[in-house]
Amino acid sequence: MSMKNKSYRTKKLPLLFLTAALLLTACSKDREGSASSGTPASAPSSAPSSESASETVPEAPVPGGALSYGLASSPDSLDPHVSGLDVASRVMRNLYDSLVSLTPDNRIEPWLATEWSLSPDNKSYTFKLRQDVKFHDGTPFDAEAVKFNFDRIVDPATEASIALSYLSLYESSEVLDPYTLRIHLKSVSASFLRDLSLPSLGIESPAAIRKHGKQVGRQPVGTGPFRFVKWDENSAIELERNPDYAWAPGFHSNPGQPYLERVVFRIIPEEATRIASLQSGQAHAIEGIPPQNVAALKNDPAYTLIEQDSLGLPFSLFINERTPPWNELKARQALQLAIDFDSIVQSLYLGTYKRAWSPLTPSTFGYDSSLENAFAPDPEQAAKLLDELGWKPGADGIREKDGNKLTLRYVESLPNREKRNEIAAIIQQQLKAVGVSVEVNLTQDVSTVVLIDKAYDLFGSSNAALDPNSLKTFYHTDGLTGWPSLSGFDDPELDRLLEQGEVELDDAKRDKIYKEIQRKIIDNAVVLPLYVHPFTVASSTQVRGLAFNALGYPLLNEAFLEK
Amino acid sequence: MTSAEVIAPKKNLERLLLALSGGVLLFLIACSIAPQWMATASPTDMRMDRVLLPPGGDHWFGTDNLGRDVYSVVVHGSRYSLLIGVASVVLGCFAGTLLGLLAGYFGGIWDAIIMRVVDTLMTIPGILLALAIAASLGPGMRNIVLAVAISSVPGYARIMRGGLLSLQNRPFALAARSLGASRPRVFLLHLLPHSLPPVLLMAALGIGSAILAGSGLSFLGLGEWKEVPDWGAILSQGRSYLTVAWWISTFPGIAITLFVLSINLIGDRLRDVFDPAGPLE
Amino acid sequence: MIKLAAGRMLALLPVVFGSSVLVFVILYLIPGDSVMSRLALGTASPERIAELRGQLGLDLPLYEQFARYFSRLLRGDLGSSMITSEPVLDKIAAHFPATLALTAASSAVAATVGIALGMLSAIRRNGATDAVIRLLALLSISMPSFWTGILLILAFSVHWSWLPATGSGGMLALILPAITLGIAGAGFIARMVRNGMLEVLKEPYIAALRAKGLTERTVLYRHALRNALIPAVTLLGMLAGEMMAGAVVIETVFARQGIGRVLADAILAKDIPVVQGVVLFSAVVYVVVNLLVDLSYSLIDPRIRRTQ
Repeated sequence: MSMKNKSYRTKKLPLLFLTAALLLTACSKDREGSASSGTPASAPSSAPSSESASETVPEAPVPGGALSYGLASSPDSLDPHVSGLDVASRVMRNLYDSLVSLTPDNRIEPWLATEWSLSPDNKSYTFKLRQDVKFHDGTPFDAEAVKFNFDRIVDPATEASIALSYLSLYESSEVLDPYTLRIHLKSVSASFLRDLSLPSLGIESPAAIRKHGKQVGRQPVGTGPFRFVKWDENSAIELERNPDYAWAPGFHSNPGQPYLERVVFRIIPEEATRIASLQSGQAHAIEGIPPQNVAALKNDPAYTLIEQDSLGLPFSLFINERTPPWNELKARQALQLAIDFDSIVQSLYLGTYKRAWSPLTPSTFGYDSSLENAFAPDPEQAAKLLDELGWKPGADGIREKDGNKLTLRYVESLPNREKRNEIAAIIQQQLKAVGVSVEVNLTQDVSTVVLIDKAYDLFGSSNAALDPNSLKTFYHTDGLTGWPSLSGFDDPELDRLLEQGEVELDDAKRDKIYKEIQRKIIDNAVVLPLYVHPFTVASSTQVRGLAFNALGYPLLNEAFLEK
Repeated sequence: MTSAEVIAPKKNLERLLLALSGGVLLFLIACSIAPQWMATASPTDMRMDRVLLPPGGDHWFGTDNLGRDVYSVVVHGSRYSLLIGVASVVLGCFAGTLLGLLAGYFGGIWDAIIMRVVDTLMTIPGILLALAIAASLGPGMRNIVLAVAISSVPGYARIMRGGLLSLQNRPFALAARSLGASRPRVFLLHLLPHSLPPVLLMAALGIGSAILAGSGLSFLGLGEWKEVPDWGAILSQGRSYLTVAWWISTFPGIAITLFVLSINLIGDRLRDVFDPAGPLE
Repeated sequence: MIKLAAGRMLALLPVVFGSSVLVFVILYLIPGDSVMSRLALGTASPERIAELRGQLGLDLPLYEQFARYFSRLLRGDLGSSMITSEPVLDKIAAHFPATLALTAASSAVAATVGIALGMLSAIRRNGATDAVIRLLALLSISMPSFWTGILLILAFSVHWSWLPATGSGGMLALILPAITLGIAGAGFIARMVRNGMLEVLKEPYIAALRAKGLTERTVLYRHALRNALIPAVTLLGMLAGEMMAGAVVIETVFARQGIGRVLADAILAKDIPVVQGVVLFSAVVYVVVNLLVDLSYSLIDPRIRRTQ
């Protein structure tokens, strides 16, 4: 499940991002120097490599050319208000601009908004907007346009998806003059300003919306460095350079129109096909490198591999506490101890994914690193805990109590992504060893099974997000837009902490709040965190200037193809 | 070919092939009934330190991405293929011949209705129909069996009906009628036995195509979750690892091919014996 | 002749109607909520879901839903994809050419290889060549097509990088899929041709032709083969159907953007209008192809025409 949510800050991210950008441009020069040893294409380390930095000779960008970028799945819509898939943002980031930009070193800087101020009660933002911006259809960008966008997102008729979750505290906007907008929030929000930087809250042309209505997702019009050309269903999305572009965020070295003439986002869901298209030259860059191919690409001097940990909530198994015995802490702890998470992550992902220990990923703000290695697999202890609860092994090895067998319903979705179905297979065997009978239910209709029927005991989910506030959606008893929470864990103290985290503007205090939240979640075994999904992109060395933001969306302003 | 050529397989090659086919079938049936004796390891034994090993040593077919011994998985998975093959043919044959019998016996409006339904089923070619049915019924072995069975019904119905219709005006049938035998008696005691051989032949050969169809549906993702995957499922799993572990997809495919080939070889020989003139139209 | 064609076409109408009923019923039975399944977890409230269901008419009784479906069908409206809102007809139109190319190419492969081998087998009957060809033919129809495809990919794309493993564009990408689908068809055709030839070669008139002094080659090609192939024409229709059906699996293996792939994806995504549209479309194409084959058969074989 991918649902982007609120924004946030980090210290490690800017280094990662900068290194990535530098290495991409410098790497081929590096490798030309050390040809025979077959130096592996480096993935960014946590400190910038000063060697490659000093060897960087800025290449003169070559204007023109068409970049072919392979996506791992198909966007559902290019209307940021309505799109529910993270993959759409890869494309949308280059079609739409946002009010503010998130710099590589994690500050919020002006973009379409030149300056802003906060009201004394911290609930209203007044933005001054740029006056030289035009939409791709020629209509001018102004305060009315922004108001139109935000009002549209909260309008039920729009059926907005992810965008709506970022505007959950939005009340209204007031146009003070053609280029000044005041936004009123229902309450203080620590993440609002950061969320504004996301493509989901990018600004669409009101004229285009009026003209196309619900179909605007297939005829997108924004203010971004690229314009929409066409979308061949399930095949490719083509964008062309916007020659009028002159308002790139400050951190870009290229403030105006991009060097590339065209960008083609190819949709290649099959892993083997995607790799093949990179190797055959059909695609210049591809995302979503399967673990089994990472080593080969890393060691191949013809390609550059970027690996970056994702932000937000790692893939974790939510335990449904509504059905006994999983309402008992001991039973849940037994699961924590019976499953060998490390061996699962190591062997399935061949060492390319990290083990998750917390409901947040390590790069997310507020991450509690003290949770790492807090416990080790201990099947004997797990067995003991289950014994204490009265579940005794029966003749077939499966535990029984009062004539009932100890069963666990494990629900996973189809089609298989990130080898999650294989995780189910492994856990089924590991839990059998301690006497728990696991029924695996692979279904295309997860939502019905989980949200309506609640016929599950274990269900896995992850969530890409900039800000830890997205924990609220998944852990607050009322967080899941009208549906019951995934775990059924009902703790007023946790709810209070999550609510506090949303409105606390002081970073130090916020950090403390989120550390408490994580500890509570893990101590109560509400979820079983499993792996941190890295964002991976491999590109041929012909591609220069390719950059990525903190969430892994490609930034193509400076990209060009070496001849 | 003269009947002498047909009935006595002259070539040693043919005898050899038949013997091999019989051997393969016996082996696979043994695997289905008692896999624990035929396999070298437990198919659910996931050794994380033995992931993606090539064939050799302890692992005749190598190991898969979960560290399972591929040979043992293939052995244990044989029962699903056998089950799909036999069950769907039995079901389809039974339903189809019943329909054909009713159409042939009652004739008239019933014939028209039944054959219209059969024709409608035939407008959607084989796998497509099975696909649509399996999709609507949901994932699962039972539903794959149903889907493949339903898509094979038209074939049996037509052959049965065709056989009955062409035979009912033959001298022996007319003679029986003229001797005072009732219509049902003639159908059941005289026509049915003569119409059955082509149907049964079709059924014997149908097992092979049922296995292919069933594993195809499983390959596409319409099978259900099982602790031990069936051959189609494991083939599909192996696709992502083609570049690093060719054995995961290759061996299950060999198993399917050998199974179906053996059935077809024996079926062909049966056809030569029972129906030398060629199938009834 | 025209009357014959017209008569046949009219008889088809109830059958096509039957297909649409069948398709509708099949998909109506799909369990689970198709609206819920396509929305990302937690992004739509229960009220929103109920609204969407109402909009799609999923709460109406069965016959009303069918009436809606059928009336739209008559207007040529196959509905729109539930996931992308693209009209199904457009989707089919965009993807059908790739499948058509595949079907045509594999039929060509199957026909040439099949006829050649079948003839050879009949001429050298009971010899070693015959035995080998017969075994190969049997082997080819015993191999699961998805496995054959994977083997070809392993050999020609992974091991020797001669051919692309995937993609729908261009002639090069068509080679491996066409060979895969063609192999099974070739085996089938080879057996048919062999049997047909053997039947014909037994006929007295063949002996008469030989007695007249015609070369063996003329006897074989001009007379025996032609007459053997005539009944085989009827099976062309069936073959086309099997090829179209086989395209689903092959397009998945080779990642081709044909309607078979569209169908497989739509089934997994529970995109009902797309599944209905593609299955119905395939049924209509299949029926039309068979009709054409039937008509051409009666043209080719004078005996049939007379008995009409």
